[in-house]
Amino acid sequence: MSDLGTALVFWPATVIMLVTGLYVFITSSMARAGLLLLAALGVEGLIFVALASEFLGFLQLLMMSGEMVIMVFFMVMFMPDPGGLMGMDMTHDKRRSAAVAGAVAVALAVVAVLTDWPARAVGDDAPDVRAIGFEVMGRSMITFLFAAMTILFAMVGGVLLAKAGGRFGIGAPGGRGSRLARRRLMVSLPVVLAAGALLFAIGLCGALGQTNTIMVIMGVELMLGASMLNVVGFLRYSHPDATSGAFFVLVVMTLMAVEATVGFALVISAFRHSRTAEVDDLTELKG
Amino acid sequence: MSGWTLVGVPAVALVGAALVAMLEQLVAGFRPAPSGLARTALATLRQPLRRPETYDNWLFHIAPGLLLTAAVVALATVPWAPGFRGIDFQAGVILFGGALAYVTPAVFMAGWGSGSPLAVVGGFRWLALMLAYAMPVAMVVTAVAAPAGSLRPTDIVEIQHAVPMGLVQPLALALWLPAVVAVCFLPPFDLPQAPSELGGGAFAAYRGLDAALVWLAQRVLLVAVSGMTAALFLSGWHGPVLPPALWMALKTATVAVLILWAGRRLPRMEIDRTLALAWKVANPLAILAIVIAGGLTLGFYR
Repeated sequence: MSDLGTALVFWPATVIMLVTGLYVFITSSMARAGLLLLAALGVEGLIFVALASEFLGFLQLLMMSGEMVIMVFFMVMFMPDPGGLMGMDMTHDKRRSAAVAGAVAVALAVVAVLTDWPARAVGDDAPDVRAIGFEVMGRSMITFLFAAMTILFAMVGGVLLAKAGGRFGIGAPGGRGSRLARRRLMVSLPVVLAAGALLFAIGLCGALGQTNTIMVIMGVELMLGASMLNVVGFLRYSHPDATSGAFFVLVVMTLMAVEATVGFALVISAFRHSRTAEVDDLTELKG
Repeated sequence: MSGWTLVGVPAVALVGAALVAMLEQLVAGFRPAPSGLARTALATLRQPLRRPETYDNWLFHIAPGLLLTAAVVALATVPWAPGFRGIDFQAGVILFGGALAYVTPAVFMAGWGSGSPLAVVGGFRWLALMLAYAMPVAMVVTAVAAPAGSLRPTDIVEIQHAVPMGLVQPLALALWLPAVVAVCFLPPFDLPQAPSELGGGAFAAYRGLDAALVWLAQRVLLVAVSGMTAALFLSGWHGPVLPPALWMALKTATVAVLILWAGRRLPRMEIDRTLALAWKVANPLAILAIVIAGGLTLGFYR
């Protein structure tokens, strides 16, 4: 994809991603929140495609659909007010979490813009899917097998936890040179990293400021999504031939699934035990 | 992506949907009547839209559009002929699966947004059903892509120039067909609609343009999955004498007729038995299909 094409997809998609990501924590209807999260992470998949990582982008689209739809399912089950009809306040520590998130966003964005990132001349072609395959099946095979075993354990452990009886019972090419770049329309590494920083901050704000466990999990998902966006940015702009970077994104996607599996199992278990999935009420460890 | 992708893909979608509608009438035992079809379409479009009385009613109106978008993107990845292949990505079959995955949220949104109990039940049923049947689709795609050594649909068609993949991997084909019928929510997998149990289910409340879009999207989905079946398993455009595009069209039509005919003959199962079939039979067999594909690739395709 040409630089102009990348810019044309990147800017609107980034705006949509950040706005939908933010609205996840603003809306009170749980079906909306889940579908908005799906929109944010699905649009992130389109950004991956625009940044020349089409395999990762399509995989992101595929994985997030299933995962977020399950998320909706759980939210409708475990929120006290899934339809958002009663106008309950589902937040705590609003100011402090917003302050922390804002500080993190500013810090990350400043680092992203001020650092002198190594820029390399990069072709416009997507990294070869075959090369990613050889990476997964070659050098990184042990790591990937480990990730696969982790998700298997997470699934089995999740089912056991969730069972009624518990476990006992039942560098942009020509970036400076082109005219568009001077007009700041062009996408470059700092821009991608700044978008990642904002998404991360939105996720952080949600994870700290929401009272329901499922919403906290959604915040963590957004933060992981931001980390993937950064890696794809590096892959596009400074290390196009580093298939291990693409591999890392695959591992993070697996990690998101593992996190959701274990998280949901814990929510079911906690709900059985104390009839609530609100973080503020799960205080047993405080003694 | 070529210049006329933007024209060609919607054209294939519209013509394909119209042809599928006529095939439907043919399979049902009527004479296909294009004029009657056009009259029904116009009458549907003239109905006023319905506004459900729920908090989330915008989901209700987005759902048909999302459904149609998913169907058209899936259709765009199908390689029709050496010259005309919609969008030709390196990871095209992943995009096909990715596009089909968005049928799931669309149908859920339709059910949730319309707010009536039976529609919500239809939406939730569909979540469970699609999570179970999307996995065999993804795994069978892997099994078919392995011999070709590529995720590009055109490469997968090229590797079948001698023997169709359906003959080499009959197990994969047998798993693929029911799974893609489930994706199109056609009978016997029309559980989110289930006219006799849920009274129309997730789509019962749709009128006018919304209803027409859902109807169109379902037919485009059928064209897309039939086309992909022809490309992945029936050697796509390869064939003697006739031109490539015609072969592809014939194979697609055959698959579509087979799916529609089976839908009329087979009874709809209960949701729990349908799910048990997917998790206990189809998914383990799909893993077996991947193992078989690995053996075939090492033995014959290197």
